[in-house]
Amino acid sequence: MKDDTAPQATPQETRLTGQAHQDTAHDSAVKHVTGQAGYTDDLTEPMGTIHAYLGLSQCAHGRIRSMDFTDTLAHPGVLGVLSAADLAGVNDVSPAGHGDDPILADGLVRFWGQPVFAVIATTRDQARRAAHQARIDYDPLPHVLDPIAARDAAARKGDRSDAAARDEDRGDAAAGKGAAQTGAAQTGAAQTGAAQTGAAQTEAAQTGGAQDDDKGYVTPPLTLRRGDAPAAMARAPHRITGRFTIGGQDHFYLEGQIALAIPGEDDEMVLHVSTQHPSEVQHMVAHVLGAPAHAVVVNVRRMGGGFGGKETQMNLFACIAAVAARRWNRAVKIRPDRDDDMTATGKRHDFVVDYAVGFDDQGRILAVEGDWYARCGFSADLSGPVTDRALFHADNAYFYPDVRLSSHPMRTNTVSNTAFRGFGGPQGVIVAERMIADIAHALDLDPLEVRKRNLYQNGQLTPYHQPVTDQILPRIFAELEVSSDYPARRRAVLDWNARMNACGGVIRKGIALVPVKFGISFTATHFNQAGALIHVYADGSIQLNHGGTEMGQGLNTKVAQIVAEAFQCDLSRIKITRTTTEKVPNTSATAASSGTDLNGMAALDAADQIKARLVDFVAGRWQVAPDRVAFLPGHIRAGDHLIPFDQVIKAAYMARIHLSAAGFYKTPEIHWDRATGQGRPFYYYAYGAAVAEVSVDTLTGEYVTERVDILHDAGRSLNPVIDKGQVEGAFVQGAGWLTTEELWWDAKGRLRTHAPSTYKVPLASDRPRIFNVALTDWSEAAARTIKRSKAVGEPPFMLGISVFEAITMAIASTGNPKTPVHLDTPATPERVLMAVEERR
Amino acid sequence: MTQLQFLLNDRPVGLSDVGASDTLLDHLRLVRRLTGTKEGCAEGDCGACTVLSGRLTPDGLVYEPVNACIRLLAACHATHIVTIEHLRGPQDGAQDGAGDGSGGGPAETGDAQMPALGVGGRAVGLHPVQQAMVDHHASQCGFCTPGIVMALYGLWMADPDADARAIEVALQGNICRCTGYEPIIRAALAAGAAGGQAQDALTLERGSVTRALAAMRHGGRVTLSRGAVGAGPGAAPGASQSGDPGAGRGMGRNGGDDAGRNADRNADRNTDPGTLRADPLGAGTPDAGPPHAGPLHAGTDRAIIPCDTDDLAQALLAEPQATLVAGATDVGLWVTKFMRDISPAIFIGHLMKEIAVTDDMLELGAGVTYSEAAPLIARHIPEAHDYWLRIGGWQVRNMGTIGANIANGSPIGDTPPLLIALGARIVLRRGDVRRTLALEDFFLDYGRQDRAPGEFVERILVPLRPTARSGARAGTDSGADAAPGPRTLIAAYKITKRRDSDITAVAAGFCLQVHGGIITEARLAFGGMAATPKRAAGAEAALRGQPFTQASFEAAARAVDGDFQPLSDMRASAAYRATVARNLFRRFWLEQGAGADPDRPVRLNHAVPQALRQAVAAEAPPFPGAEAPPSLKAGE
Repeated sequence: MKDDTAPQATPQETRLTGQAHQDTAHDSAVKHVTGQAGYTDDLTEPMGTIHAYLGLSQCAHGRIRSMDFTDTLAHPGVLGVLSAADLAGVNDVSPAGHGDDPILADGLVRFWGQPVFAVIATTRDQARRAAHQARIDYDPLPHVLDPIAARDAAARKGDRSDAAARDEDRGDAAAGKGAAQTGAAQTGAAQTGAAQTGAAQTEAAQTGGAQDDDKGYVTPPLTLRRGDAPAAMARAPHRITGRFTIGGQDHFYLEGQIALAIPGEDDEMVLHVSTQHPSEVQHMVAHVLGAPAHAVVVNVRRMGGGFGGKETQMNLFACIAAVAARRWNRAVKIRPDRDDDMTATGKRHDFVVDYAVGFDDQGRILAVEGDWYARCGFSADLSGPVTDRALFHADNAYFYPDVRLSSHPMRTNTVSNTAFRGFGGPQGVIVAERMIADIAHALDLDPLEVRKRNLYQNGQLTPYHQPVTDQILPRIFAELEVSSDYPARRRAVLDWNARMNACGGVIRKGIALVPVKFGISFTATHFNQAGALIHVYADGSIQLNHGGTEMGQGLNTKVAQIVAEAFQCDLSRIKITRTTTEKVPNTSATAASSGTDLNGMAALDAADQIKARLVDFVAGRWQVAPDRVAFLPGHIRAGDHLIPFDQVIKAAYMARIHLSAAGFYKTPEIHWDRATGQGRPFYYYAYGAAVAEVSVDTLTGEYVTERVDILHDAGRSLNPVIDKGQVEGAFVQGAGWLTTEELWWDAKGRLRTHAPSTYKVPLASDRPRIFNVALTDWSEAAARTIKRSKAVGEPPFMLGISVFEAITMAIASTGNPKTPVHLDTPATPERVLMAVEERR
Repeated sequence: MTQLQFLLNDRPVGLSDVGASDTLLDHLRLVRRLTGTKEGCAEGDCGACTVLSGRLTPDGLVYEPVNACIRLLAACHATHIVTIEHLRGPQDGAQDGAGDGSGGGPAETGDAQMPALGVGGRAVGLHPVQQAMVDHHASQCGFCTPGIVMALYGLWMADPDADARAIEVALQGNICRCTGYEPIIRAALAAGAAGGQAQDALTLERGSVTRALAAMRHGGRVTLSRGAVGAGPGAAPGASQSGDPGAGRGMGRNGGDDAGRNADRNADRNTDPGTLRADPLGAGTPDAGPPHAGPLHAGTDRAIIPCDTDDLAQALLAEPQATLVAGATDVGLWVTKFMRDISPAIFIGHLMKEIAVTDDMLELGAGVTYSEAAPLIARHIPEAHDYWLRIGGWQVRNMGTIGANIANGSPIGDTPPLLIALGARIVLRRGDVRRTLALEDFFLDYGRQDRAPGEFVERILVPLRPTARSGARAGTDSGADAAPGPRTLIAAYKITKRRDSDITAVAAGFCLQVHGGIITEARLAFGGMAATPKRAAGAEAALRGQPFTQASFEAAARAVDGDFQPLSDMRASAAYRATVARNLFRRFWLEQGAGADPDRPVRLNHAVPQALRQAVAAEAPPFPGAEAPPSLKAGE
């Protein structure tokens, strides 16, 4: 072996590619641009694959009187129909264990578009056509579509003590198949023992389910309280109250929901799906099949976008495919058409917020009270943690000395809303920014000045009693003000508007600098864990697997960079395989911006285990102290010996060294007590700020985003160019949420914006005319995060609020500047024009 | 002829078992397993399914991005369909052209190989557009990416000098939900700077493709059907047993000389199998593909592709109940969304392409697409050019035709308000009988047009008055009210939730004659305000004969309230529509009237500063292959 150790290239001359903190292309970039990247629908189907298609309800709320599948079954190629009665196991996919999420409606439908049955046929086209030939009759029940209507309806019921109406409304829809109905006393948690998965039972275990439902809640509400907000409000020199309606948002992932289930021997079932949460799909499929989790394997190579829309919403599709695959003993694929996908799957929660803010003459906030009414839809899904997070971020970056914030997760006869990038946070942040704008109007101040006067100082407590200790916004503000030339441009905007006022000009301008502070961690503490698996093969190549899923965010690339650096090898040595529950069990959803934080740490742990074994081996083989063994580029140094990595691995294999390791990580220090509303739910905060300038046509309400400057904090970025891509994309998506993306239901409860022809996500021409994005290259996470980087998926989404605030300023210029602007979101040209007209 | 023929990437395809409602996308994905082309929405709005469609025009072979999801397969007859799998770098093309006999030709359809990452992370075999997308980190989830690459490929071919604004227009029909578009725009600018068009595969194949497509057109009327024998899993595969070998022969051998006259002479060199496989199956038989795995339905599903307009007239007389399919930008949704049976369908997208311009008239065949008309609009009705480029996305403009936009009868069709305001007339034809009527008279009521069974829209006649018309800001130079001669003032407005690729909330076409300070004639037509595209009679009356002053337009704004009772729907409320309709009169006055003032803009400015382009060009070296002359040049 001595000969092998002769240095062939000095490590100093070896420049490694794809190390942590280096700009590195997405690992699938070449496959993306050549069309070779495989998505679930592109997989070669097993011979004899058949197809399922969902039949959706055409009634917002009603009892199913009859279902006639005569024509459906007679359609060519149809093999059969599945309805609730055919689900042998549990008819529930509630991710929170509430037992209120039937896979197929059982007796009662609770929103227009709810899956009622599935047709199985030889081809997808046959199944789809046949599904449209079913005849279902309903006995309609009254429906409520928006959160205030739900609150008022619940109040009326309360007034009448109309227990019968309550029972009817809850009744069999909430009950999983086979669960006994015991009336109003049942809580969601109590009735669904069989449906309980390992996930999030704590949410359901909250007390007071029956009382909550009396108030129209779909899940227990939360109140955060510090100090005495009513008293402080009463003492405040100035008070403003308002109601703010905040629209929802469809994910519009380009690849829709899709699942392919392949039955195996015994009770085995293998699935290929587009999900952010393979472990939950595994649990749900196991439950619905009545099989243990070990029988179910869930695979995810990549998703064509997720954004939260595939955190829980895939469960239903996967279960249908699996049930059909078991029943017909053939591979089953299910893929809804885009319209059905948008109709039948949940979206970002829309909110109506009643707020009050008390402040002094300098614009310093003294007291805040707020009530967040959410359109949760017919079931809980993730509405508990989503509405919680709206409250967690209702302060955005500002200290509220006395505060009371309450959530009201309202049950409505609409699709059950779910996770979406920011997870309720944006709906909290934008209210804080609305209050800042109101204060600035009232005092005729630059809103930026009001923002600065209210920024957290380290040591101050959030409404959930976590101290802020890593505040960097003052520096971000200072740098961004200079780089964006904010002061001069604001003056120019004011001058422009004054001139247009004088001459009757119709184009008005607005500019706004808006910060974000976003808490990183799952607020359900137990989700903050991750696993990884690394194999080093005898030829020196490395296979990496972790529990996260790739949906475009570059997670696989970043985790591989961490491992490449750990082993001091080129990125090309590492292959990341598809995410599979066979390799890493009990994973958390790739969500809450946590993918790299958690899985990167787990992968590093696995790498460190193998490295430790290699160090021991090398120290013994070359007779040096372990502290004289080091990993250098492409090599391992043992004292004076320099051995190529491949040769070390080969030797280690021959010496029977274990070259595989499972890594694990759990976020330290975090805790959260929902009952008291206190704790440290977040490991750290990510920060950023954006300056947006817009022009608004006051004759039509149309607008254009002229320029945006962003300075965002990704800590010590693991891959600046990928993180910058997250910032750009999140910003445009956030701006889309607040401008052209409008969900519109008709009086019957039909969502009428259910396809890109009617639901308008931003196009290339909607991006800012000038778009300058930079990361804070000086920032470093104060917490011990993976290589001191910070999560970046969600926080920049909220920077899109700067566009909304700039539009608000432009509108304000058309009337008395001291009159607050009444602009709800999304600020479609229609809402903008109507807000202008209101001021004329 | 009973066979559908087209080129798919590098091979001819002949299909006999084709129904009217079969889509190109299903054929690509399900039958051919060309899965690089994605389904995102199945309604032509997201662009994930974008492919290039090459067709012969009087100006030669033209490639345009289209939506495969709503491009019906029968509409592909005699076209060249190019999917993402066919893209490759100029270096590959040059090597193939050199024909070194080493057998290193391009990958075959359906089994294209992954370009390998070469030195410095530059992938060997990537097209300049693909390479730029990689270099600029312009893909994240990657699902929209093949469609975006194909749209940008189409732009790169058509407009090597495209700036950021032109790129945005080209991408109106493509949604990316991940990147926020900035890196995609940069990539497109970089691809433009890299160049390489002369060495591009489609350039090199031009001659052989042209001849092949011309040959496919020589077969007369094509009649297709499927399902007659019996539909279902056991049905006979769609393979054509005999077929018309014309396509196979046409591939680079005996194509029509006329159609090929504009083709690149150099392309003759590339008719060897290394570039374009004339006989992939070795017997001159077009590739019918594997047994049909696509949609199967009961009953007979028929498609008719007339060979010319006279043939169409006869076919429609024989089958007056037939669905006429032009660009299928709406009919495609009948198929993909409503699962309607459109059989029998007559495909007319390749017909009625004639364009004639005289001093006072623009005559457009009904089959002229929005894209084909765009340069004419820019030249003859420049006031409407911006409006025109907001009709659908680029793919939709490449597919949709003006005649079908009219014949469809939608109250929110984009062309009727403008055309009615201009005083357009249409020619309707039934058999050999033609009649002409004012466009506004064609629209009778919601969903009802003045079109008899067997009749079709053949031509659109748009009056032009180039000598009398002033520019967009007429009157400001010499004082509007004192202008010497009669002037024609035109405006076209479209108000939508999102600027591009959105369906109209309110559309308006204004055409006014002003003479001696008096409004002598006013034609004002609105879309989205009533059950049909409709003139605003009250507002017209309020302007006609009145002085060209602000007060007159304020009066018209008040009067238009009485002309319409708009509806509320998901696009806009009645109140918004009414308010906007009023305000458009104010906008018109501010743009065209005496008060027009360059320091007081009336419309938003969507320009992108050129600095972006310069920055990208500065940091992006030309694509290596683009600098070297193609090896073909040596033999010239």
